[in-house]
Amino acid sequence: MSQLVFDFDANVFRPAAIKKAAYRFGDQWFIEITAPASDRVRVALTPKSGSAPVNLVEGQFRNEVLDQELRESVAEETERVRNLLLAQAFSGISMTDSVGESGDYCADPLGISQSQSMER
Amino acid sequence: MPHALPVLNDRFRTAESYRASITRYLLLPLRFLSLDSNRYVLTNFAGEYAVLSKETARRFIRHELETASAAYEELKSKHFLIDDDSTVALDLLAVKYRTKQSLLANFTSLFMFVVTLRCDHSCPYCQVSRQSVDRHAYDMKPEDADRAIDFMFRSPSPAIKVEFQGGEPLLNFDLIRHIVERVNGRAESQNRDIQFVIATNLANLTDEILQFCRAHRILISTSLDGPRELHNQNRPRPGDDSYEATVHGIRRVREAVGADRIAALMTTTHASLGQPREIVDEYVRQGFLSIFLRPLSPFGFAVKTGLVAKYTVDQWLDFYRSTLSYVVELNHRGVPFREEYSALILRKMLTPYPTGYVDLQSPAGMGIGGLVFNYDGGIYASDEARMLAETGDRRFRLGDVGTDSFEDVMLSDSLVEVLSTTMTEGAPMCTDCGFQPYCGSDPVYHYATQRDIVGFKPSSGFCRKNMEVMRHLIQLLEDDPQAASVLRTWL
Repeated sequence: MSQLVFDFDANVFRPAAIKKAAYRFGDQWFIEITAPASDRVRVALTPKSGSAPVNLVEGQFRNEVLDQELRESVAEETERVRNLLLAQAFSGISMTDSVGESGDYCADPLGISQSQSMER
Repeated sequence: MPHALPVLNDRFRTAESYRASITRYLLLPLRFLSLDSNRYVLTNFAGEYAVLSKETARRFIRHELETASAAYEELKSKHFLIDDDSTVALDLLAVKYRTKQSLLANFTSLFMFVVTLRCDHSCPYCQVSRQSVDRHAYDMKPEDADRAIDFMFRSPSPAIKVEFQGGEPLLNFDLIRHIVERVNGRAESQNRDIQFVIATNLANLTDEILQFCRAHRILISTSLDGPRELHNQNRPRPGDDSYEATVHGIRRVREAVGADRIAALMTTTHASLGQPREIVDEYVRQGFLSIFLRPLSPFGFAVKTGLVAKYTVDQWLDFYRSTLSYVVELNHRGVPFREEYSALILRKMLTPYPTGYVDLQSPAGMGIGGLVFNYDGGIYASDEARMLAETGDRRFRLGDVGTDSFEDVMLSDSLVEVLSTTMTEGAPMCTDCGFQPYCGSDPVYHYATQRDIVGFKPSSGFCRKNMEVMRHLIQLLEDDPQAASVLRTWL
């Protein structure tokens, strides 16, 4: 059975995105990932059986890498806030609102107690 | 005077804020997946979702989304982003997340007592094992039941559900009576809220049993697979009268215990696939307000008899979609009726509350959501786990009521390691999946079908089934206003 080989530009796509995409194709394909040059990542797909859909697979794989790359960038950008949210959700104290748990109930930093009517 | 209240003063935005511009915004944690070829479903940290065109979603993630767009407002209000205007978003999001996970704090609340393995039916799809009616060696001993009760009351959960299972549990009704009375005696002094359920085929119902159920507000859960012919084909018993016994029993329970004290479950066999309307019509005819569509479980007799292999996940999904479509049609004709599996997923999608359904939890519901006391005193992580043990594989046997304490079992490596290894937050593919907030981990299913507790999701039937059910529900909510108007009433 023929092997399908194609390359990705390592300056554009993270290896993690390519590996995660490859995992999703693991039910129908044997997958090998190599780096023939410092700026290239090579994917080789070999069908596990005759019923694997050979025609579309390269396009599907490339689209999946695009999605995974997007996911990687979201994960990278939101890692800190995710950890903060988890800590906040499961801790007894507020980590995002320093006054929230210990503030004086008489304090009114936002002027909520003052009439708004004159300003309208 | 302070300049402005962030909410109360901003009744109208300034003209400036409606001019097309891109301000600096930060992404909040989110996941996404393809809904179809043109759209993504995005889910936020707390499980709220938004559907966007792929192009819009990519612009959003690349920080190129215009502030004045409807998508920006939606994403901001649903906690997918924060900008300079956002003041309470993070706090609120953390609280929403904590609310969704709040059942974890209560710990195990469902305890199943297998009071006997004896059964008068010989259903080829039975996922548990059974013994003939006269083999009393397969009854739970009262002293084991007492130890199991002691064990159960070590759980900190304020609400406990005790479910009697079999075999056919009514064949050992004396033990059910013993357990109910003993549990009630202790529950009062401990201020626990106890609910009893008997999962029964109703064939052995007596007036004495009905009276007892009424006195103790016991719920009855039975099996009804559809019209007479289908039900009797699926659930053989001597005399071929399972349907008559069930339907007669349903009527007696309604009269003697209460109209709302009985629920039914169906199991989909190959023969059910062509009869979605007939099955629902049977439920309506018998006075039920809902149905729970269940595929066969790949355990026990269902595997041995080859029944599981008779249809694919995709065939079950076609059946599910047809049945759901018919249920929606019935509602529009004025017959209030719902499908329970969809309803529980919709609650995950559209409400801030957690659901206790053990098969869709992360960490998995095994042990910390529900536990099984087998007839011989063995403690199992789930019904499926005890079936594996009956076929010789004791991988998920957590202990024995005679020798192991609650603490021994709950802190054992065999439980904790499985739970932590299989959390969808960290499992390959699940960690990135847009449906992660709605889905769960099922280590016993994946161990039984793939010999791997985490499971290889590209070929997992569990993954395929749940992904497609969730995708279908979101498509209906987004694209089919008629269906959506019904689905939104099921929360």
